Amino acid sequence: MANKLYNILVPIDFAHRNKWAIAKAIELSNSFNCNIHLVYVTGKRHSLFLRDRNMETALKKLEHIKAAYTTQLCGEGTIEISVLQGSRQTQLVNYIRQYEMDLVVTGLSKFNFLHRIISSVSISRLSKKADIPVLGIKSGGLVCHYKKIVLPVSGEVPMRQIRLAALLGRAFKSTVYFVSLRKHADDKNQNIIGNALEMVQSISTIPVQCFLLEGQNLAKSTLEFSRKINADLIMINPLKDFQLPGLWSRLTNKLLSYGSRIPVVTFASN
Amino acid sequence: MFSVVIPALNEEKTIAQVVTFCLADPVVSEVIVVDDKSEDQTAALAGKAGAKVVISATRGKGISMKEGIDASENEHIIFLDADIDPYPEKSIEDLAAPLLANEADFVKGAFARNAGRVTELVAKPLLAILFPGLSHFSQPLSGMIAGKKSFFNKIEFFNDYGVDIGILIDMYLMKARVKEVNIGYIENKSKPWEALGKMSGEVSRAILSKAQRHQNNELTRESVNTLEAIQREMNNVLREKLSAYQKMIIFDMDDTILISRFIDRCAAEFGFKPKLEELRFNEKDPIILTKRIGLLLTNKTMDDLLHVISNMEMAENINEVVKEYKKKGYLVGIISNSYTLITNYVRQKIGADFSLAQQLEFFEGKATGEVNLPSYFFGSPESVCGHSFCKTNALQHACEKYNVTMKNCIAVGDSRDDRCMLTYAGRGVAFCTSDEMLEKIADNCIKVRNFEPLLALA
Repeated sequence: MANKLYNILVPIDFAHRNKWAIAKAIELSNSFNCNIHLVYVTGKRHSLFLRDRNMETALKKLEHIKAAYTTQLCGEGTIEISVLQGSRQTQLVNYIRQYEMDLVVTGLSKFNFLHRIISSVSISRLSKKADIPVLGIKSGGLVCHYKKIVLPVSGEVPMRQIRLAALLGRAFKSTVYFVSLRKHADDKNQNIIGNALEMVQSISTIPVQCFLLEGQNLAKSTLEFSRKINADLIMINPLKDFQLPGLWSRLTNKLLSYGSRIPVVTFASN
Repeated sequence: MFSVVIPALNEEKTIAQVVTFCLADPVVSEVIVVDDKSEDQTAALAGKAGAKVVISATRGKGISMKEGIDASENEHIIFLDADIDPYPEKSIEDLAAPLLANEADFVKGAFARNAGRVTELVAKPLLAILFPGLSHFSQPLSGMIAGKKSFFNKIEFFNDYGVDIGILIDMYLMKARVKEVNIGYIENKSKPWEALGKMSGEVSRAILSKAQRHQNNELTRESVNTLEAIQREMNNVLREKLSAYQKMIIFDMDDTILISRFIDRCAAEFGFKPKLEELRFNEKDPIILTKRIGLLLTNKTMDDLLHVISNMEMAENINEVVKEYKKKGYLVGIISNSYTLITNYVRQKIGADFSLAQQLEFFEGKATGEVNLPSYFFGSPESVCGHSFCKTNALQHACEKYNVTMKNCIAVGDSRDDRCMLTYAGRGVAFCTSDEMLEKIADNCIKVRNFEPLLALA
C-alpha cells in the first residue's frame, strides 16, 4: 500500500452506476492530486467488425465522459481513458499491474443481485487477484468525505486496512472505529482490538475508538453499527467473516460491500 | 588581412595542427595563441608551428580573448577554438567572407555537430524570451567568431562560459551587423555532466545580466513571470521524474548495525545502569526520555564516548552489504535516536553516505548533558505519519533532501521506535527483532544477525 494515492481506476460499463464511482474518484483526486483512469473492456465474443465498432463507440463515449468530468477536477490530477479488449477481469488486473493503480472505485446498483451473478468482475475477486483495495459506491454514499471510518477486525490485525485508514484519516481528519464481535474477543482470548489500536498509534496520530459489538455475524453487526453512527466508510476483507448472514447470501457470496449504502473498501489483508 | 586569435589551455594534442591550418590560409597574416598558463607543451608547440604566443596574465577565456585582441595587428580578427582538429577546409574563408564583402561587422560560425545540450536547453529558451532578435541563431554559444577590432574594443568580456553569448548580445545591442555562417561539420567533444551544470549557470547568468543592464535593471513583468514559470515547472517535473530513479536504504543503528545499544554500553561503562532503567520505566514521552538520558552523559568527554563505540561490535558483513548497495546505486543512510558523534563514527566505519541523529552538546570537549533535537525529527503538516517526534519525519527529510521517493526506500530496524519508519518506507525489514508487531508490519524479517538476506532486496 502506497503512502499516497497516485492512480485510481474506475471500470466503466456505461451503466448509470458509473457516475457515482466517477464522482467519488473525483472527490479523492481533488484531495490527493491523483489521476483517474476510466477503463472500458469490450468482450471478446463479438465478430471482428462488431468489436472494432464497439471499441470506436466506447472510445467516443469515454471522451464524452472525460470532457464532462474534467471540469470538476480542481487538483493536479487528470482523467485518462482506455478501451481494452478481452476478458474483463484479466484486462483490468493487467491494467492495474501495468499502470500501478492504487485504488479501484466501482459503482454498485441498489439492487445488484443480477449484476453480482452475471458480472465477470466481482469485488472480492478483483481485490484478491489484483491485490488492490476496491471501493464500492452506491448512490447514497456520495455526499461527504471520510470523517468516520469503521474498521471491523476478526482473526488477525488487518495491517493493510489500518495503513489505508491512516492515509485517509490524515487527509480527511477522520476518526477510526475499530469494531469486533464480543464473542470473538471472548472466544479467542486475544486482544485483537488492542493490537489494532497499538498498530494505529504506532504509525499515525488519527483518533481511534474501539467497540465490541453484540451479535453473531460481523458483517451484519458492523453494518448496523455503521448506520447508527452515520459512518462514511467501512473497510473489510474479502473473507467469509464479512459475508452477510443467510443461506442465500452465503450461496451467492454476498459480501458486506453489496449490502451497504455506505461506501465499502474491500482489501485482501496481509 | 586577418589575425587569428586562439585562446588555449592544455591543448598540446591539437594546437600545432590548428596553427598550421590557420597559417595556410592566404587571408591570415598572423596567428596569436594566448596560452592560459598551460601545464603541458601548448605554448612551445604553438610557437614552433609559427604562432605568436602570448602568455595570459590571468586564467579565463574572456581575458585571453581581450589579450589576443590587444596583441593583434589587423582590424579584422577571427577567434578559433584550440581543441578542434580538423576544421572544415573553408572555415576561415567562410568566417572572413562577410567581413571582406562589408556585409557584416560580426560573424558567428555555426556548425553541424552532435547535440549541444546547454544551447538547446538553456541558451535558446532564454534568448527567445529576453532577446527574440537572436533566437534564430542556431549556435549562439559557438566560439568560432570573426569581427572588427573596433567593435570588440567597445565590449566587455565575461571570463567564463558566458563569454561567447555575451559577445553576441553586445554586438546585437550595439546594432552591429551580425551574421551567422555555416562552416560545415565539426566533431565536438561532449562535456561531462558536471561541466554542463557549471556551463548552464554561467551562460544563463551572462544572458540575464545583459538583459538587466539593457533594460536598466528592470526586466518586464512578463519576462520575469515567464522565466519563473518555466523554471518552476521544469524543476518540479525534473524532481518528480528523476526521483523515480533514486534509491535509498536506511539503517537503524542500535541493535541493528551495532549488536547492542550504545547507551546501554555507556551505562555499563560509566555506572548509570539503574538510573537508565528507571528512566526507561517511568518516562514514556520520547522527547523527554531522550533529553533525560542525555543528562546521564554529562561531563563525559568525546574521547570517553568514542572509546565506548570503538569497542562495540558491529553486525557481521555490514560493510560488504553497504558496499554492494552503493554499487547498485543506493544512497546509504543511518537514522538513529542516538547521537551524531556516534552515528558519524559508525557512518565512516561502514562507508554510509549520511546519518541523522540527535545532537549531544559539548563544551571544551565535555558533554554538557544537553541534547539538541534536530528539526527533521519533528512532525510538520506534510509529515506522513503525523507523529510529533518520529524517525519517519527524519526519513521524509532525507527523501526530500536527496530527491528519493519513500516508495524507493528500504528501512531496516529492530525496535518499537522503528515501526512507523518501516511502515512508510517502500520496503520495511525487521532485523532480529523481539517486537511481534514490527514483524507483522515489516515486509521482510531477518532473524539471524547477518545482513546477507538484504542483498536479495537490492
